Amino acid sequence: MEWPAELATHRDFLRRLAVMQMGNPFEADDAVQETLIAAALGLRGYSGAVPMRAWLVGILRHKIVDVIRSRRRMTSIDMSGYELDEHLGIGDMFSADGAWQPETLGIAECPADTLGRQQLLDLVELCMQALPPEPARIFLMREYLGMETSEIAAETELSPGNLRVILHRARLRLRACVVRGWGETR
Amino acid sequence: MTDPSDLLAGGIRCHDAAWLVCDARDRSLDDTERHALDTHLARCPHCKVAGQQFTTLFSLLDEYLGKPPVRE
Repeated sequence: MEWPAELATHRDFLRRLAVMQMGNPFEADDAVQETLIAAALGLRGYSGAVPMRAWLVGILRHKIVDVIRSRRRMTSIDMSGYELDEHLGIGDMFSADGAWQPETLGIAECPADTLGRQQLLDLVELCMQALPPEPARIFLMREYLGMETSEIAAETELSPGNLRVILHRARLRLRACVVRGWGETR
Repeated sequence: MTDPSDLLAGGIRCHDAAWLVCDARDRSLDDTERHALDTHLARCPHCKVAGQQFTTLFSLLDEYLGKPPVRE
């Protein structure tokens, strides 16, 4: 199917995001397809109040949430390969007495003068892609789908404590990755 | 070397402050937590840097995920 150009340009991004969230490329393709159909049908109603990508990401979010909540479950999340006491690089960030290791902090200021906004967003995506896939999916259930932690815990059968650890570690890892990227532009 | 007075600024360590900064994405901090975090951030130069980084990261993440900007 030929999509209007203004939608087609975002297709690859939507697919990457859907795959990160759903973990299954076929389910992701379905969600993106439904998103583009909905967007094409509603294109005349798009006011431009938000960027096109944000509008499409919002539609995709609803499609994915529908998949979860209609009990047409996404590919199940398997955390068995991830030890929750595994440092995954987190252990190097703090000393034994709980202080930041200064060498892991990097620069405070985002180099907005040397990196354009899109480059910064691309860096975020790169760092998202570098997260382990299953924790990334859980992280996106919270950050992208906006699911409450209680709902995520129920959906994934994780304890609230384990869920909190997974979300925390994902955020720490993203921070470290993004800041490394900032530092490499100097 | 970390100044011991910074280590427990607000009664919490940097590691705890990082937890609270991240937890605040998922829930409202209670008054005790908020006070401890604010005190620590005001006194710990490392957490001040990390706090700025997290603020920028979350702003970029929200934009990447198509969320509307959070009004202060």
